[in-house]
Amino acid sequence: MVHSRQIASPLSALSAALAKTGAIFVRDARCALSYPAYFHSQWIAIFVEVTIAYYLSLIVAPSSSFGVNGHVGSYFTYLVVSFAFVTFQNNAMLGFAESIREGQTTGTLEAVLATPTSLSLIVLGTGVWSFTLTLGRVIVYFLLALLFGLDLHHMNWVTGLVFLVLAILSVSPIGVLAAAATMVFKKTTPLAFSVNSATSLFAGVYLPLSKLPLPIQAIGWMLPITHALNGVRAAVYGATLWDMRSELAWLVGLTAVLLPTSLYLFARTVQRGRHDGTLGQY
Amino acid sequence: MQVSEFAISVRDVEKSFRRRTILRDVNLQVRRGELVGLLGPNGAGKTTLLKMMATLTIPDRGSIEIDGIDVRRNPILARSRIGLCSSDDRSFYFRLTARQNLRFFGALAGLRGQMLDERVAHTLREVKLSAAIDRRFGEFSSGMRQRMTVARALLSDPEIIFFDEPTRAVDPLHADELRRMIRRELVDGRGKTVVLATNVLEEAWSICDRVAVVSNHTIAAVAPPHELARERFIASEEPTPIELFKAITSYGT
Repeated sequence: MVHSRQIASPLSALSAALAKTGAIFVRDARCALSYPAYFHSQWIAIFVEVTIAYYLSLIVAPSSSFGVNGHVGSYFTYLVVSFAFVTFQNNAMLGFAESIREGQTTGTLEAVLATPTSLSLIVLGTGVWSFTLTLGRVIVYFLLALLFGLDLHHMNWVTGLVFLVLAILSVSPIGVLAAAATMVFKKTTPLAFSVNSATSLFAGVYLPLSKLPLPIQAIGWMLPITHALNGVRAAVYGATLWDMRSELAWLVGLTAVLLPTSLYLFARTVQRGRHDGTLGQY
Repeated sequence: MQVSEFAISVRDVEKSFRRRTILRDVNLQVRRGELVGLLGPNGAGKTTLLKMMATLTIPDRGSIEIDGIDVRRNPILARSRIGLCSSDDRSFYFRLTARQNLRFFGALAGLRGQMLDERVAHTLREVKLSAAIDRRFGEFSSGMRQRMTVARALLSDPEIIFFDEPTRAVDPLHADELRRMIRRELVDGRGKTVVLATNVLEEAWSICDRVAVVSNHTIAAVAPPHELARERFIASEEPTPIELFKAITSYGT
């Protein structure tokens, strides 16, 4: 027998987990790149979105509502950050669930579940390519936006980087929950599309939350992506982590609660599939 | 740890789906290095039993041990001991090549680096797909796809291998090669323990040490093939394959 029979030290377990995550990443990257037209069209979409943001900003005057801590901010900066970072949530909502759904319809889900790989690794691993691609999109967004005049002179890169990581971590549980729903309903739930649309409103993607009615503000405040967007926007204007401590605390706390909860619920749905014999059904 | 004589132990297993009994009172013990066939008509519960042994379905009652490991308590460890050749020949990534697909599943089975590459090349040679190693899975015929499922089951060189109708979509020539490979190379040559679910009587007859007849929601009889036939026919009779199949699968009814 080729592989090791017993679970070895934590270090080798970590190394094995990383190797498996790498394999899932390579699989997803290869599958995505095998559709070149679809893959490349997303870069064109970014160009279109940045152009729209630029021309919209020409008719909307800079305002302190778009800035942070009393800074007057441009609508262009506001929109670019929104468009670039909200895709983390959109990808989380759809990416995890679609991966499970595809596994159900092609039969690969059962084949993967028959391997000695933990459920957490299987489900979280599916997000690695998607988030890496989104990170690439964020970079392209910002590079293109620089050509259109985005000002990053005051950018606090540490704050930006921390909120970038937290944006990914905090939306992952939402993706895992969507994957769990797919395990149960055998379909990528239409709710994912609705949530993504609603997020545009509730997370203040197009308009600052402070300009919206109180109930909407309350809902928006609960969403992790709202705080991630606030953190990145603040980083653009030079805010430190200390300045953003309340957003930081909320994101860390939410992730700490939601991530294990979502993984537990996903495991329960897989267990239910094993009981019902419906793992491979769709 | 004391090593059990049995590679697989199934005790008093029951399974129902939506209150419909699929299997009840199932008991089966498979010795190390033995090839046991699960023979029964379509819908008899062979695949369900195989999936329970492979940890993909959980029994309602009873216990299953793989290499002494309780599949319910420690499914991940149990999976590290088994290879599953499923009957679903689509269960690969159509946009990836044979090599890329097997590299992925090999990595999930715990293989890495040069060892992974060697095992991928070796198993593709074993199932006569070396020439197609860099062709996309989507371009494969159904027979080639079926052979890919066999290659995947052999990737980590497990001690225990489950085959679910492995020759279902394979042409007679390759089916014969596959059967010989299972019997001669895997069982006789390397001492693997194999459970083979099939509804092809000749397959069970030609390569299995013992045949477990899955009938009437249970394992109705377990014996070497010719003992099963002897119990149903007198020595002078020469039943047709259909008569034999009917007689064998009517155990327990």
